[in-house]
Amino acid sequence: MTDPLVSSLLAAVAASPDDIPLRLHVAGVLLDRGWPAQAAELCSTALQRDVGNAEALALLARATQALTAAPAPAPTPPPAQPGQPAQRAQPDGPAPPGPAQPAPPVQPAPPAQPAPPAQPAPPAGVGPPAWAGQPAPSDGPPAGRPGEFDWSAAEEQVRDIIPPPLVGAGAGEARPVDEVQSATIRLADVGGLAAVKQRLEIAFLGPMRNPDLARLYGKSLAGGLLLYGPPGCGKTFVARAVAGELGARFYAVSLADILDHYLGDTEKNVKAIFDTARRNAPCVLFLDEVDALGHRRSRIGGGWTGMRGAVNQLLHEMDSVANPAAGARAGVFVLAATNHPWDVDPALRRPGRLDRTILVLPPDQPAREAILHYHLRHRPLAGIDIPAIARRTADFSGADLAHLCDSAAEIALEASVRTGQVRPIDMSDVDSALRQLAPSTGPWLQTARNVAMFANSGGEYDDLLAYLKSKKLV
Amino acid sequence: MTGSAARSAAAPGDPGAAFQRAELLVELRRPGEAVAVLRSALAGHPGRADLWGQLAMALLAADRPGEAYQAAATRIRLAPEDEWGYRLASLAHSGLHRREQAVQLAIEAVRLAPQEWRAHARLANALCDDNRPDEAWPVAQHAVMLAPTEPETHMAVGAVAIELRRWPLADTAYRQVLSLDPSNGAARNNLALVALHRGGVTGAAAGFAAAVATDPQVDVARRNLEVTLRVFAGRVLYCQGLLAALLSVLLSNRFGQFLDIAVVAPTVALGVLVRLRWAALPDAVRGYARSLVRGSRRYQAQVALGAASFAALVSAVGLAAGGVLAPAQAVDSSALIGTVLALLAGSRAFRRH
Repeated sequence: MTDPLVSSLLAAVAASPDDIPLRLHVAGVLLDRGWPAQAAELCSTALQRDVGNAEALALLARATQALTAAPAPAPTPPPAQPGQPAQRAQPDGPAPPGPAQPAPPVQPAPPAQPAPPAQPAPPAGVGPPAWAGQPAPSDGPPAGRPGEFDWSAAEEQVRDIIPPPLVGAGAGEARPVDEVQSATIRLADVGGLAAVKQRLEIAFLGPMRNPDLARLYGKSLAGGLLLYGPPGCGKTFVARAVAGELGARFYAVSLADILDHYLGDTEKNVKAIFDTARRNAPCVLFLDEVDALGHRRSRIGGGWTGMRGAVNQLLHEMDSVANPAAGARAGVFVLAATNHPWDVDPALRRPGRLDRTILVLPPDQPAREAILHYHLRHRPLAGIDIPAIARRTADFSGADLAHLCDSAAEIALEASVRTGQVRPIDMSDVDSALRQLAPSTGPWLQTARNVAMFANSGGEYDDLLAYLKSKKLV
Repeated sequence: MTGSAARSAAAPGDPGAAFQRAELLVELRRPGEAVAVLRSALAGHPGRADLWGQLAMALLAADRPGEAYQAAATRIRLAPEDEWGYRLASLAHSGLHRREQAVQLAIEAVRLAPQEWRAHARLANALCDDNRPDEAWPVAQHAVMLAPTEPETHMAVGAVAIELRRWPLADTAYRQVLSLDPSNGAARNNLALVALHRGGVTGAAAGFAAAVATDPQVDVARRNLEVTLRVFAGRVLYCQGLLAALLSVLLSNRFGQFLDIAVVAPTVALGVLVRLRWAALPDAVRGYARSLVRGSRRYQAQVALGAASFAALVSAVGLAAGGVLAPAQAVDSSALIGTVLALLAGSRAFRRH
């Protein structure tokens, strides 16, 4: 044994196998000293005894990340494992009483890189000993020492055992399309959705960028843009990208914001929102779930009555923003999003207000690939064929795809905990997750079908009708 | 940037705010979120009867009548002299198909608040559910008397009138609702249902289409429209079968030169009538009918049967009109085939209705 402290700790674990804090403490020490596989094994055992232990899960995540990001441990045995006769614990040696170290925050890994064409093997460090959690036959230092081990030969040996993380050379080139928190993103950062981008360019961005030309052709610059489509399909992300394209700040107001101060002076609050946007011009003011704020009718109770003032104020503010003569425009662009445009007060959709609409549909194949890639980028993978998954997830929203990745990871994690051996996410996990999931866009599409067929006399949902026809839903 | 600058100091634990947020969320058809808001508020204020009542409302909107009953029962314990809890509990019982209990609780609500139109409307609906429309009728009328400008009271009258099969009264009630609230999709649906019961298939189809357009999230009107189209198709096919059978009888009895007029005229009339009725349907309904056929092999089979029947009928007529060259057996066979296929297709169209 090369590290007496670790040996002692392991001996203590062997003496008190049910002492979870001790086990986790030792796992933390092992992690700090660069033995992630052994740490993961301790965490797995801890999770078998205390399912759902948050600290164990955090440590396991760290260990898994270390296995993914760092070179695999040398094929030398780790410090003695708890319970092995040769490493018997000292009978009178109390287990370290200190609580397990809290896991430090997981550092974000860099974006996934495409696998080099000549080396389809997983990134460095993703070797079978690490995944399988198997100790190597010889004793020695846990971290690899240059010159002492032939990594190429080892990779060659395990090539048939563990498939590469991603199938397909171009899989790593897809762009992430979600969870960006800055208005600096551009439309080019949005994966797929070519039709949406084109329509945005024609209906909104082009005239904004070329105001003189737009005026020459009698195209009004007043009025906002309404994005609509099924939930979880990236309307907010597209709005952020529009802000990025305009070089404007992004100010998002959601239903929660409205409801948070519902009891206050709602009119005053709406005015304050627009004042804030004006102060921060150029600014894209994004009204999320605008159907909640500008609902068209009362259905059940008296809640709507209380919101009437807010809607009137919203109409007034939108008019003032859209009125160049008053000099109030001041670079405020109003964008809104809704899942149910048919519930939006028609007054809000009159010319000069939210008079342009863009349908944001479930992601297409390239967008799905990008989303899947993004959500899998920091997870241990083996043989994941992203294009194949994307082909099988038509009609899945971005949120559905994120959920799919989470579910597959949960299945792999559960298997790791159950067997006590850490293993990466593979296609069988994805298949299992897919069997349990259905696209959440179904109910929306059903309602959209009703709208497109029965409430499209004005042609305002022609794009939706065309999409439904292309899907053979009408 | 965030919206925090504009956020006022709303007290997150304020039960009054929670009540109003939940009310709005229910109205926005987000009852699940309303339930979460209310449960959170109730954790800090378990003695607030209004929150329990609103929770029951949200749970009813979320189609969870069992939990709604529990919430309503708590509301009754906290405010035993207030009718709202009884009314909510009655609604929950109706959702659980416990009709007698629903009536009893509605009666209690009326006893506690005899001037409250909602209690009377609830009692009328509960009696209606309990197959007691004769008793429900005066109660619904009384609700209208208490609140003549409330659409819900007229809705109750319409529901009772439908149970009593008093179609003109139901028609009037739902028209009254729509005059008060033109965006009421349920009233449009029920009005179309009345039209269907009165035999106006094309009018009913147009009404259901209008109901879907008014409120696309309520799918019942679209399903009703599908049923109406099946009724339409079934009637056409039965008429077709009747004509084919008539032709068969006429041929077997050899009515001579009157045969042409006796068979060709109704056949042409049927074709023209169907064409006119079809053209009278709104574009959306015709498009929907076509999409139904495209999307269902069952409907495709029915259309194929109907078309084959029509072809057999036409060929029988043609053979008969062709005179002596046509063997009588061939004409007879065509007519019989047309009869069988039409009746088969018609019965399939009416199935599940």
